[in-house]
Amino acid sequence: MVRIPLRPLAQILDFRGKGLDPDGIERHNISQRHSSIEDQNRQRSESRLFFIGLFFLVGFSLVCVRMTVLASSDVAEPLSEFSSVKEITQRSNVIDRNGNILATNLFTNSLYVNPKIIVQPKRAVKELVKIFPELNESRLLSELTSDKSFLWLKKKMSPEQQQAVHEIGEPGLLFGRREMRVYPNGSLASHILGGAGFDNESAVGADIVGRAGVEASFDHFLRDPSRHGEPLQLSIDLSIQAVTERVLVGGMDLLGAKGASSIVMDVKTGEVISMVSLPTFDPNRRPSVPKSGDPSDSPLFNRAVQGVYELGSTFKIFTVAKVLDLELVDPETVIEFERKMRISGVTVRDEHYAGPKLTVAEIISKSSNVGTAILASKVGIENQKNFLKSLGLFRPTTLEVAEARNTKPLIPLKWTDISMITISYGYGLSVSPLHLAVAYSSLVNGGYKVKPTILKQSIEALGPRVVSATTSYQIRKILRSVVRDGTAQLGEVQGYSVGGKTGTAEKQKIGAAGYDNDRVFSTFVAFFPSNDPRYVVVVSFDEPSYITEKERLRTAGWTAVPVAAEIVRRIAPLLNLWPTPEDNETVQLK
Amino acid sequence: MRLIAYVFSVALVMVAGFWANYENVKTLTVAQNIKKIQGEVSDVKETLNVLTVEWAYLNRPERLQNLANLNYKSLGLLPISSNQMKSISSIDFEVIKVSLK
Repeated sequence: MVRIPLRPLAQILDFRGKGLDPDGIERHNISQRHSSIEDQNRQRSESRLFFIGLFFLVGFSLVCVRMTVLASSDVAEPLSEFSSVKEITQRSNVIDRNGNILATNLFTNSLYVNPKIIVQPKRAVKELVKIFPELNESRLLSELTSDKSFLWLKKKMSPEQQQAVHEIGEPGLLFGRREMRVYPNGSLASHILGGAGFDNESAVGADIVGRAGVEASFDHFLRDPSRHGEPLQLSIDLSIQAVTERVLVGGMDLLGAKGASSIVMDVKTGEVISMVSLPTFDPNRRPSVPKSGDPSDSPLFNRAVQGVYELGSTFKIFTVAKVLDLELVDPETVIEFERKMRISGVTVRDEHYAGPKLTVAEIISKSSNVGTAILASKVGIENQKNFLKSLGLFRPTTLEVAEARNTKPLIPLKWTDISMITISYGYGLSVSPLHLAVAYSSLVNGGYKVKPTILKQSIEALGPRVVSATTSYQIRKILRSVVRDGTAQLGEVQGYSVGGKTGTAEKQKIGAAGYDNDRVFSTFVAFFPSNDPRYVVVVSFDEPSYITEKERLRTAGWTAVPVAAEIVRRIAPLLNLWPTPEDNETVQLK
Repeated sequence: MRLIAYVFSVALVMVAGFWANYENVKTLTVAQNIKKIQGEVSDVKETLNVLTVEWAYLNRPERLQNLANLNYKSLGLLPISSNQMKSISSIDFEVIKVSLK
């Protein structure tokens, strides 16, 4: 800084020359110097004040922001995010339509070994084999004396087993806490639930992942942590599932069948109320998928949705429905035919000839192949194809069970006259029993397409129209006559009017062309109450036979029908259906 | 005057410090307590879950059916059938009245 002298010689000489007091120059310069120092000080103070002000402003703003955040945030329990609390949230429960538990989780412990810190391997192995008899003693001993530092022993065990392992007192035996999936009802509804297994296993835990059924198709949904353990509610009714399974098991044993399946479906919502496939398995101990052989021989195979079969005469109603819908005939139109006829270049014959004159309704109730073939020739290839397609028989069903989505019906590559005739009475097109349940529901519910679902619905879900209301009414009447005086007379249930259609399809010969009349697939599709249908029941047996003193009966009328009738008899009261009064007697109380 | 102000502000700082510490200790105690309660809640939840599973297991249809079969005769049970269902209006209440008299 340049300092200005207080008494510059030039100015003093100048002042003295003029006769003025040179002291005035000093005073003036002193005052100027002071004022510049004051200016500097003021500036410094101003900037200090500014920074202090800024500091307070920022400080108070932070406090304000924090207070606003606190005031506007949701009230939350403190500590919950960093507490060491263990919660069962890994996988949601699965419940039935009434809230009964179908699948849930339990804490368990896995058992693993660190062979390096095992003190007495021989004693440990001896004690372990006592607790878990399935372990191999010599192999375990060689592994425990190896130089590994980690070895799995059990993926899950009961608390009793855990206590017993504790009591061995061996420091090298370690437990890892994890959750496991539990199905309290055992094998009940096993094909619907599927089962779950472990993934990403470690000593501190493991992920539970769905392997099949709804556990697989809703895997993402069940594991979603944002749902806070909200359960998955299915349309299944546990009691009805149990009753149908019990009746079906009885039926299968009696008829010596290879397998059986049943479906109960709500005709208006498409909800599957019960679905059974036999033989069954326990999802708590899910067997492994067979690597060789016919997959349908495994109990894991879901015959109701995975099995595609030629379903025989149950298809006849589709031909009749279309011919009625086109108004080419009415149920009372008389058709004349012979026992064996050539129709559209195909020879068709009736096993049980009931001709020569039958009405359209009687063709169904007496189940005539020739009569149906004549009606099919009236419908034509295109109409038949489009109609079966509109009933959903060409594509996998949309049921939310993993296996259903992958099951494609077997349709002919080229739809010829032969296909048209054979498909009219159920040969040459293979679909699953579930497809049949959906198609029949759509025909009898007033004529609207339904979408099958395994989730509980609160409202009716009717799709586009497939047949007119009049046709639907006529079909209900015709199918009722099948049970009243046709091939399914054993299907009558006291108090409930049941309608339905039987189907006995011969199975294709193994390793040869043609059909084997000793091995059949018999099906009965029932619906009730027939005047205002609420439920469709599909019962099918793989290779059944009913042996009487005189003969061996294989037709659906003797196999599937009585079993379906027993199912309806037991489930109708459980479904809150009121029986139609047959008498007006009053109840006498004892 | 200035001395009084100094003494007063020092006293204020001490009181504020004491109060803040007091609140801090109180909060930590409550937090500790909550942690304990949360532990208890999770234990109870786990027990509840085990009991729910046990309830579901004991009430599985197969077991109930077996119990019904065991007591079929002694309880006079019958399979469900439609003729057991009657409307309330069909009950002859006169009989009840007579028998009550």
